[in-house]
Amino acid sequence: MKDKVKACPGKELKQMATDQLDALLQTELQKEHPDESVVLPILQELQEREKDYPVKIPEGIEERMTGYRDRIHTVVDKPKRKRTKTIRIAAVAAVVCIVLMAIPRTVGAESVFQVLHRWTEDFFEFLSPGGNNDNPTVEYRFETDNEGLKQLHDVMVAEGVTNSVVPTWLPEGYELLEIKTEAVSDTKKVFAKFRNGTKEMLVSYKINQKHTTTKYERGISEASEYEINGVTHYIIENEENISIVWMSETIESIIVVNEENEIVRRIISSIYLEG
Amino acid sequence: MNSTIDKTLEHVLFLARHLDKCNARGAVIVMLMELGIPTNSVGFELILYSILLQHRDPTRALKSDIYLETKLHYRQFSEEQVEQAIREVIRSAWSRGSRAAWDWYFSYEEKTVSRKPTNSEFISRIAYILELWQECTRKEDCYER
Repeated sequence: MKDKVKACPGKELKQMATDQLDALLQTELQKEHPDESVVLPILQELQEREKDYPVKIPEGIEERMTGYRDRIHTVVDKPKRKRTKTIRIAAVAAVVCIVLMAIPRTVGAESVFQVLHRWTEDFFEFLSPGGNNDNPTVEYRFETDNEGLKQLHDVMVAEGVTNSVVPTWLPEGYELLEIKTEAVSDTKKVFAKFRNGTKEMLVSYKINQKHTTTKYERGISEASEYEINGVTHYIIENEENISIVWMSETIESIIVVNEENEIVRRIISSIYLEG
Repeated sequence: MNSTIDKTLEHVLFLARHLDKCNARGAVIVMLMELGIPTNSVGFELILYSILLQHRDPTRALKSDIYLETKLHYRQFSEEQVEQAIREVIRSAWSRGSRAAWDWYFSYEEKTVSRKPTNSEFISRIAYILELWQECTRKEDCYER
């Protein structure tokens, strides 16, 4: 039967009853690799039939689905960003990066070497590694009541990280679910997941990140900057989640959390407890 | 037919009528085929797995979590490769798929979809439509003819 459908889909399908088409469709979909040359013509035929003999939509179905329109995400009203302006900005940023890298260290280049980043239509990414900590001599202490954060800090210390990148405060209720470490060439990744009821928080560090950096998919809003203790943190909103990304020398850090802006800033501030 | 019902719900009801005995995987496969996602691509499997992950746990709106799980499941890819493959199939489908199908799944209040969705928009939207489909297949009224 399937071969007949493939060979002359239109003719054979029109001769089949709707129930037979449904059965054929569901049989095909149960396979590990369903064939779209079977599935799509059947769907098309079923839609044609319903066009000629419309199905009555039961009353009350829309009321039962109340609220789904609010939940469902749309792509209709989001503005389209112009690529030419973005490319120009990225090119200027790249040129500035090259120029700054060429300035000799003896003339104070380190103080002007900032972490460069760029926006594209879909992404935010860092163009270069490097720290922007203007207070390298300030030592920060690590003190926390959250057991999960302590474990994460211990893992980072074991990986040789001396920079302060682990928060010391989280809202009540966050518990550590798992910590994973992974080595990819000369980059090490540490990944931790916390949970608080239905909310999750991910903390991810890429250590010894010398080359390409991660791209962060963006929503409709721009990244905002949150500077604290000389370190610039980029806050990116995407749907209901907030991502905070920052570079500290060769450590690329990201926290993704579903919390209010105030809470997010407090989490970030807690990284820098002065000793 | 109720003229106020929107395209998405109308199509979900159509799928519920004809895919009532399908599992969630089969339903998502139909949706992806209709959108023009090439079924012979690696990205098809990755995006299918990601959508089912999102659907099973809607709190998992965190892309790094979904990409990580997908990567661990398939073993041969990095998270970046997973993200890139998914982005590529969406881009490919946007150019080859039917506009009608994109309107079924991504339109809102009779407005047609105006731009390609991002990875997270695509995954969360299809996962939520899958949830609607599941809701409809449980209700006997969805079969009324």
